[in-house]
Amino acid sequence: MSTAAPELATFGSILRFAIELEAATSAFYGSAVDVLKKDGLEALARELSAQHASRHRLLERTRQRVNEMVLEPIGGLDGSRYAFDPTPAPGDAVLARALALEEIAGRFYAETSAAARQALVEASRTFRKLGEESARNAGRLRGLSEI
Amino acid sequence: MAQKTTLLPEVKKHYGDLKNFIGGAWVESSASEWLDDTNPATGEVIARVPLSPRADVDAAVRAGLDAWEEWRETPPLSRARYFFTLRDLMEQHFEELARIVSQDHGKIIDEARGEVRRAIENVEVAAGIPSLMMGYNLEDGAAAGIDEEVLYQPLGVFAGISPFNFPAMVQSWFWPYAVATGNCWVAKPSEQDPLVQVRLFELIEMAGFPPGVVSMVHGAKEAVEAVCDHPDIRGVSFVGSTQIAKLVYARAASHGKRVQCGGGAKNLLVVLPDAKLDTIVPNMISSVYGTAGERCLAGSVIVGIGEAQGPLKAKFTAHASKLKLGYGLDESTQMGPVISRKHQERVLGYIDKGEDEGAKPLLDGRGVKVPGYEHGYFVGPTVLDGVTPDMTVAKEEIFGPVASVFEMDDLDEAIAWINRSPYGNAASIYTSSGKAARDFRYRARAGSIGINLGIAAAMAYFPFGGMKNSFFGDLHPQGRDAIRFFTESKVVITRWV
Repeated sequence: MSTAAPELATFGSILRFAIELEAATSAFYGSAVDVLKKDGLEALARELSAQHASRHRLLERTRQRVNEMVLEPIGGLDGSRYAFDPTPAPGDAVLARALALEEIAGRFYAETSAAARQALVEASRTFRKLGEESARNAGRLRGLSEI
Repeated sequence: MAQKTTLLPEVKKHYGDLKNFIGGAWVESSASEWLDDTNPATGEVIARVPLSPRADVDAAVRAGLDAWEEWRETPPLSRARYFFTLRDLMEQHFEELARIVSQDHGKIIDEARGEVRRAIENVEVAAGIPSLMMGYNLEDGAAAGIDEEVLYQPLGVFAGISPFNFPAMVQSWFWPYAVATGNCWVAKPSEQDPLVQVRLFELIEMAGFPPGVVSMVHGAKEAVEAVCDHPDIRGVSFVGSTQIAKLVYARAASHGKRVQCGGGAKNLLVVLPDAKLDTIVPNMISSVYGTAGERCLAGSVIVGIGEAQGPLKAKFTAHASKLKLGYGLDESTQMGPVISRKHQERVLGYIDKGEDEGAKPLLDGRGVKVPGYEHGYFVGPTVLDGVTPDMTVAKEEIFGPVASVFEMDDLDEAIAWINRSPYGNAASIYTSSGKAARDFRYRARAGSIGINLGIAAAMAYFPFGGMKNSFFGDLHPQGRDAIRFFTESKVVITRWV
């Protein structure tokens, strides 16, 4: 079941959503370890769970390094584009759901990186890197789906 | 699709009757009068603040005097370690501190986090005291075989009086430097939102500062007068309105104290025709409406130069009209309430007066209603057009979410306005021209200059500026100025025979 669309109008609300997305994605991969064992992909699930947990910690630090001189209202982000489904999936749907999560993350971070580029340079850089990492993850998952 | 907002939990619903922190212990005030501290978003009473009498200030000063000799003999590196511990505690409690600021002051959680970050940064800078406090020397400086050196030494007990608008940060402009240099400190936080200082003092206590080194007394006018008059307080740091800053400066100085007093402001944001409006307007919005305009660095006068005027006015007003008001603990809120009902009425009165004197509201924040927070002290973002220099709204500090829009022909006219103003806290220019920016920086008489930045707030390692009626004193808070303010220089000339 997809989450409600977030209202993304402030630095804090964007970071809040990002942190929730990372926590949920990490938990999703954690729940997928056993499911993917039969395909020999449990190591990948563990790796991505740890990666998203690490991203979660990075975003917590980013949120706390705010400089109020560059806080500006943020407009133009449509939260409905980033609603995600973090619930554990049955065996044949795991990779598809993982791919959807990574694609949403990739889109979310790319668009927030652009929206924050002018004022929040450090946060924008972090978002860009996370978006690129999610795009790479999505590429790996797509490759597995095609096998 | 329904949008999801996140209302962060309050740390506590009610914080009870506040106590003073004196001599390393939480003690009841001997106050006979108490003040209700309200949550400005809801109007609910969340604490009771004692209006401590002179006796309580005196007790804190005595505790400081008792602690001082031993504290000043504590090596700077050992003193610094208390700040490292405190800094770690502040990081651990970062989110809690920010939420208390938002609940008690009303600012949005992002702004509260930014403020707590500033407080931590001052503690971090003060932890470098072994380097910051070094004196200097010159071999053969006096004559052949006679060396000369300067030592920086602490003076004794200092006190700091801070305003409501940055309840966590402003005390940190002062006390970490005062205490790191070997002095003792008495804090008098704002009686309107002291809760974050209470929590910070609990962390100070956990950090293990020796009893009496740092004390806190709640209160209002009587406590301030007691600080100014006390014969054993060697210096006073203050931030507040210009009117009170002048009084504190004069009264404390008349008792021979060192004094630094930050006052009010009327800051111009000057926009040249070559400025990139799409980029700068969000920054200007943040400057004018951030912390609901309750900032001494807030831009309150918008000046469009020449062809910038029309597009600037339209874009600025359009952006301001979209700001979402609400409780600061709701992370989707973009502007919170002002501090109190009384202050809300004052700000609304200024808008009325502006209109009476001929200004035209392009955006009117009067009568704004925030669903779910009908008892909050909200004023909507307001833009007054057609303001002229003789109007009250052009001359006086409103300290609320109100922008006055001026039209001027050229940069010279704007700089002349800034230099004529009795205030000199900050001024900003938005331009793509390096020459214009350099000209502005060179000529504008204001303590903080922003170039394509509407809130030019000095970091902890730089002095927080202010000129004319925006600052009374010689040495500013933060940075090297703070080290000099809290120490006396002693010259030693040595000849070995």
